[in-house]
Amino acid sequence: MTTAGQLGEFEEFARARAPHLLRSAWLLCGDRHLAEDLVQETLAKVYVRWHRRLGGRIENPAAYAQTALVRTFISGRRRRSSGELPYADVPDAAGDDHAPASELRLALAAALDGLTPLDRAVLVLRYLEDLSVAETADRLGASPGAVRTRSSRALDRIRPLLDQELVGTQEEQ
Amino acid sequence: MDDREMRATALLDEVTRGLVPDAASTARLVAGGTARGRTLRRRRQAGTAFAAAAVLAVVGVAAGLSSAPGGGARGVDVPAVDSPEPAPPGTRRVGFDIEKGAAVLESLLPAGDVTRADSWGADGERPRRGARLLLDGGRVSMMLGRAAPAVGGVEERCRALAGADCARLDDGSWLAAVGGDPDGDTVRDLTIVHLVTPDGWILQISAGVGTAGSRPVLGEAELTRIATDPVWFDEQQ
Repeated sequence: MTTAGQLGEFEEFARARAPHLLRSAWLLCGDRHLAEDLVQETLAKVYVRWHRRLGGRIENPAAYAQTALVRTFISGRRRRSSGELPYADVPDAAGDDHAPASELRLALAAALDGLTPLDRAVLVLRYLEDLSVAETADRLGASPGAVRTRSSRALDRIRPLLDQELVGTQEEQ
Repeated sequence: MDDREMRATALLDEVTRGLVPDAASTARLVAGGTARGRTLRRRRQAGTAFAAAAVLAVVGVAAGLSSAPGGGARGVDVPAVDSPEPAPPGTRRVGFDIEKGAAVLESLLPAGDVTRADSWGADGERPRRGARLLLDGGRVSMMLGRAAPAVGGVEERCRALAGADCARLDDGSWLAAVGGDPDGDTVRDLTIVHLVTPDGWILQISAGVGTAGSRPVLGEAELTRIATDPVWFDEQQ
């Protein structure tokens, strides 16, 4: 039975974590609407695990939720590729964000558009979550070598934006 | 971490910082996630009970059965990934071809300048349709497909999808509008109408900002009218 205390704890965690999850989700999906859908699906899985009678408490809920997010994204992409999910196939467009997206955000979304779901997941875990190669490999069930390869590919994809940032930094200096 | 990687971290942080939702949006995300979680939990409990009953019937033992908890990994408790589920068969077919999606959507819109119309979709076991266009610069999109099977009724499925309460329609469908004002008089940056039908279809119609400086061109009432139009299905099936 779910107690009020458990529900309160979960909601408290979810409220605290949802904003960060949404940032990661947007990088994965490139679209605000899809990102919100992914966050809700992720929170649902955390909810189930949170209230499971067997297995004890989640040792690190934030890490669990982050891993659930990227795995759900990857799994969802696989399902969509086989025609499973009907409502998450809208390509990215400027109009999907609730607020007008910045040019930089749109440029990043365009740059990430050709990356595979796993490449995006590596990008998020390595550079938004600031995880090590080993930690990222562990979360994704991949080898460290594969993570390095995917990291390099993702960085190559956004290199023009990184160079722009570098130019901006140098001009400021 | 080298210089390029540090700049990547800074870039991702900067770009996504502006995406942090306000309190109301966060509450909506949490409410939606919790509602889906309840549905998922019930579904898994029902599945576990069914699987246990099946095993008991075959093997004839009543003890020693346990489910593998979550597939743990080193350091971090790793969540399980849902396997794809086959969609249930429908009683109606989609009422238009894949390439006609944008044209069908446009036929339901008020008069205006339509640009960047695009259609996509698939046929076969899991048919789906999608379309998007700009109407006077405002974004309008449509998505239609099979709902995944779930324990619970159409209402529960609708609530889980929309993350909000749904209203029952005369034909047994359930509908929710998210993002717009309740009276439908005022459009916001993004409004989505979710429709879930008794025969297992999901239809989503949304309107939002499109080109720079544009405003959404449709409110809840118009989106609802479009979603409930009979044009989406072949009623003869």
